[in-house]
Amino acid sequence: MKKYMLVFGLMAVMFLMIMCLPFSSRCPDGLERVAHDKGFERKEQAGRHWRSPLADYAFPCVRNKPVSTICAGAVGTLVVAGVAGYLGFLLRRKQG
Amino acid sequence: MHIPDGFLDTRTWATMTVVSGGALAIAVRRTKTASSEQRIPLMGVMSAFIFAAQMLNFPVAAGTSGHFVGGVLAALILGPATGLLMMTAVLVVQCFVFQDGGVTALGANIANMGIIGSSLSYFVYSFLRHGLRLLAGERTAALSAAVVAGWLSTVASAAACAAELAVSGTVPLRAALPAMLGVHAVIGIGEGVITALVVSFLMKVRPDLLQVEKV
Repeated sequence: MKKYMLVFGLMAVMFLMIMCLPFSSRCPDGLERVAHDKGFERKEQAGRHWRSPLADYAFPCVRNKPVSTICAGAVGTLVVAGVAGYLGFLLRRKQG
Repeated sequence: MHIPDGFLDTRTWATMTVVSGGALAIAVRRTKTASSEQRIPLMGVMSAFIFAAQMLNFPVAAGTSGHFVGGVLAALILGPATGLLMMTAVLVVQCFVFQDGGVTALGANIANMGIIGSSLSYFVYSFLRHGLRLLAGERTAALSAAVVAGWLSTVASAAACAAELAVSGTVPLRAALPAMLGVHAVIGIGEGVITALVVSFLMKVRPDLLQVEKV
């Protein structure tokens, strides 16, 4: 795979995400819906053990919600690519 | 279907953490034998794609949404062990950076969406694809297998999630199981269709990426 594939691939992912995010549903997902219907959603203790810097996909200091989500998504896309790529690199290296 | 903190009791999340840890150890040992350099950037880009796709919720029924999980997609491109590692990378970042899925529930989420949703579902996909090849063409077999395995992976993950909630005493199984299966039977259609669409797109544009060593 040519080196620019990584850059090109990540740009394509970002582009797709930015294009699709405005159409994303804000309704609760399957588990959240079931938790609500069956009355156990109050057991949730989000942030009790760890306070995530970009909790709920909101980027701090950005007031505009769609822009805030896109910023958080862009950061996440790069972090995930970095973590997964580095993991692949580590596992490859130890063999060689 | 990211389980937050508070839904699982200590015994359940501790057990699921041990189970996932064991599966990850096996996956790490297996992926170390992979030789292809091409796998590294592909792991990064595909994981990033899965993360981005998981942010996009599609409506499934009145007031409910679902999103693509991507376990089958990850595994059918890079293999069941690598698929588990990729789903783990996505879930760890979602948990620690975005508070999507609890810290204590991380092991359970890796088990549901990684071990069941990716690794085990890969074998379902593989079995179906080989079976369908006897009846139909290569392309039809792969795409149909992707749809069915995608759907099954979602439903199986949901069933596991319901079982973990029930064992924790959060909600009785007879309430949780039908509700989780009902919603995810619909979400699973989206999972299957998106998986097949991506495979179909890759077949046209980058068929070489579907030939990468699968570990």
